[in-house]
Amino acid sequence: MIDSKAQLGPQMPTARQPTMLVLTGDDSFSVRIENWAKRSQVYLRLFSENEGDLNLIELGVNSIVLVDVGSGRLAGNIVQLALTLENSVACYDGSHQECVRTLLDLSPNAGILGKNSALLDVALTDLATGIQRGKGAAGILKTLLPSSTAITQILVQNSKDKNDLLDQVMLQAASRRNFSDFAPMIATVTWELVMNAIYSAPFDKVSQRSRYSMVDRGTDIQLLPSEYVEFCYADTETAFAVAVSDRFGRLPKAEVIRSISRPLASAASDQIRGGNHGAGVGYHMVVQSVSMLSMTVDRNISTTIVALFHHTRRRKAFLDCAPCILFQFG
Amino acid sequence: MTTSNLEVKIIKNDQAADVILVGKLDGTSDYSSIPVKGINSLSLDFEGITLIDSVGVQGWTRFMASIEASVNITYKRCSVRIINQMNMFKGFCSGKTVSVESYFAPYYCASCDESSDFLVAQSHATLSATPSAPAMDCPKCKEHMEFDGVEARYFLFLKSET
Repeated sequence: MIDSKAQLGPQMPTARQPTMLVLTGDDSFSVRIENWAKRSQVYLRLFSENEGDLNLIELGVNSIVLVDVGSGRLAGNIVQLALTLENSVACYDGSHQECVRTLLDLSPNAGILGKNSALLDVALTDLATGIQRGKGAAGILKTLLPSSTAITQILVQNSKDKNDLLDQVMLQAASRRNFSDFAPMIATVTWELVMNAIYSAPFDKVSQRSRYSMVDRGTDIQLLPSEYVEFCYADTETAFAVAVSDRFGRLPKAEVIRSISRPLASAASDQIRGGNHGAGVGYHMVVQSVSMLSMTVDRNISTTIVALFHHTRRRKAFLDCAPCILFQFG
Repeated sequence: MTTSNLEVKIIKNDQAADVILVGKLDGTSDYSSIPVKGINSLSLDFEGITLIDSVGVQGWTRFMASIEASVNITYKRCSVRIINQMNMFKGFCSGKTVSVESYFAPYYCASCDESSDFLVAQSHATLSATPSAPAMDCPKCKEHMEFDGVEARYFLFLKSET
């Protein structure tokens, strides 16, 4: 049992220091997150189960991590408080498939951290940093990745640009000699995110309609300057990262969660009937392929999606690490 | 006219058609040259598929649905990526009975610290309630390789399609 009054890192948070509340009875996880907090200069409050009421405003909490939320071990009032925050997440110890099923049970305001994720530290940093307005794809990658990381930036102006972009990404990803479908997974995610940014994101404010959602995705289009898509990729010792940013900020979180968690049998048949260009199926394919997915939406301004894939030679090791899925909507 | 990212090679013999697919299964994929009626059997070779996206899955399931019910359908040389799609999407075959003749399975050699995919004939997998991966030795060091996945999940396609 963790000392419920333990305070780690600096004794008192500075005015601008992220403050994170972690509610857990998992001692080994607590040690891991304590070490991360020390390295990251995050003010951490650890609480064990069965604590009394917490005044989150008084504590200055801007993010909460609830561990093993599906096990019923958490105080009900804490859960209710946590689910009102934009930055509350649940931590789950399971595989990709189980993680997505768990997401079904959470409020749309929650994200999910894989306890055994290889990129848990990166996800915690993303969570603690909060909504990263105005940074764009490259800016957010710089926050999450080591400072020395080289980031390749590509401005997509025409839908044809995606082919060369994909070739570059595949070439770099394949050079790492990871398991066989590592590079194809990254290719699929890259393709899905870029296609959505090109065909689904552009919105005409005058007509209040999506400009290209009814255009066949096989049709090449020249984007307007206001519709250009920012794409970045980077390769570190730990992970391969891709990031896509549009200039519209209209990604609907509830729809994404619904798409991710909808049973795939019905998703596939829905696509055949509805013909909505496979958007729901696409998000599910993305979630099944990543180690971490971070969606930052600055409403009506921009949407940035970052996908990370941790390096491993073994496919099973990749699959056994539960993904982290974070939403930051502002 | 949109250029298809999928190349379709067809060998047609009387009542049978063997199709080799190369490229991407995406929104540009054109299956119109593949015979879907007036034949007894149709085989589809997937080894050359490099990417399949969400719109591609949609188009693929529509193509599968258009194949006449009397046609015997065989999938060949299914890559790991295609197997993933078959396991992910129960509607991938549009409810058709498909025979999977061969597929690639992932293996890992701990001695060499390398992973490889090996082509497996369907008959090699144990078609019991819990299909299992065939034993495989590393071509470099000859040590036993471990199946690099979760068998219960990877072989779902065998249980549902055969």
